[in-house]
Amino acid sequence: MTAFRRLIFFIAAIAPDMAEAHAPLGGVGGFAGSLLHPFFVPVHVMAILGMGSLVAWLPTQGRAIFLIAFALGLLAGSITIAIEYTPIYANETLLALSLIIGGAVALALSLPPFAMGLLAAAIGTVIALDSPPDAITVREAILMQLGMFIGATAFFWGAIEAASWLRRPWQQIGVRVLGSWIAASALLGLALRFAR
Amino acid sequence: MRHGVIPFVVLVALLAAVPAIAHTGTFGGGLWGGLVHPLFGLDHVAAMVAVGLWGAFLGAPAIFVLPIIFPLVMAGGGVLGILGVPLPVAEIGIAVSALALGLMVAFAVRPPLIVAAALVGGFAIFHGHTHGSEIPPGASAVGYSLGFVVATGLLHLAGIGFGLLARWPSGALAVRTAGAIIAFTGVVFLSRLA
Repeated sequence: MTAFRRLIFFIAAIAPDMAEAHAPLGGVGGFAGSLLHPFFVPVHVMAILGMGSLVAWLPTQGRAIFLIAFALGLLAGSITIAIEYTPIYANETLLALSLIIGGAVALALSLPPFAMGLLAAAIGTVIALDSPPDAITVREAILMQLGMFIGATAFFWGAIEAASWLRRPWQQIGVRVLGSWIAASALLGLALRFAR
Repeated sequence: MRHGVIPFVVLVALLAAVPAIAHTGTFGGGLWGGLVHPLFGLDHVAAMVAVGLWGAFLGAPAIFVLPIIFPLVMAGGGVLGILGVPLPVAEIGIAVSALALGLMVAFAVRPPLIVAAALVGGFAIFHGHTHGSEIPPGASAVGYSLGFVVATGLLHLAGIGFGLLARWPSGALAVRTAGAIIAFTGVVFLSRLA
């Protein structure tokens, strides 16, 4: 091999940047990165906080069903990813769902429980579809999906619990203002996505 | 030699490509740009603080209805701006919003809630349109939008925080003076546009 070819090989080895398709946190990948993934992707945060706020308005006894619906949605999305389906508009769908949920929170609309269950399941599914693992081995991919599942479920549970603590009138107003921010951000984000 | 070099150069060019980042809307990038964008327009800042001041001055339910309505309608205006729908009087509308909302606070005007909401919502279209059309081409859609909306909401909260001083007589004077100052800045912005 000539010196020129060695030089080319060297450049080729150092030139590519790190592929970080789903690493919103620099330097944190694998299971830990996937665990934190839902906390650091704005549209995931918006959807989970909005849905958590909606569920928190319901009586304590009935809340578990929505957590289960969300977790089943995550599972369904992960299985869909595992059979090599490539989602096209997952992020945009999540924005549209955030718009609906944020609007419902802002306007203090009480949706029928069946509709809320469907929304929770849909959000779980789309979050999983929007978090495909960028792993090389099957074991690594399963670990990353497991991390995403635990992180997203814990975040959703935490959002429900946190919002259910906010009982005072001014705190309820704060939740509604947060809903309006989620809806407005989702609408602007959707417009930007489709305008470009 | 020549036949061997070209494939290598092509290979290097391919490998040197920038990374594909699916979630460009992370909290580090676009969010910051969106957060600081509304803070650099004094006319926008003045009007947003006035919305909060007026809401606090009017009390419940206006204190929370106005800050909820504004971002929702502003996003609608932002969509018009993003889609390139022309709104020639947008800058004038923003200056008038500072003037009108400042006067409402200064003169302690207490219209029915529906009138206050319609006034604030109407001005929100101008603010949204201007900011929507000013979003830089490279900005990440979700992060930037979220930052932009949150910054606007925080300006409302700042206005509400100061407006709560109106519970006390001297505080009410301070709030109404702030309204007068905002109205004056609105006149200054209008004179610049004339």
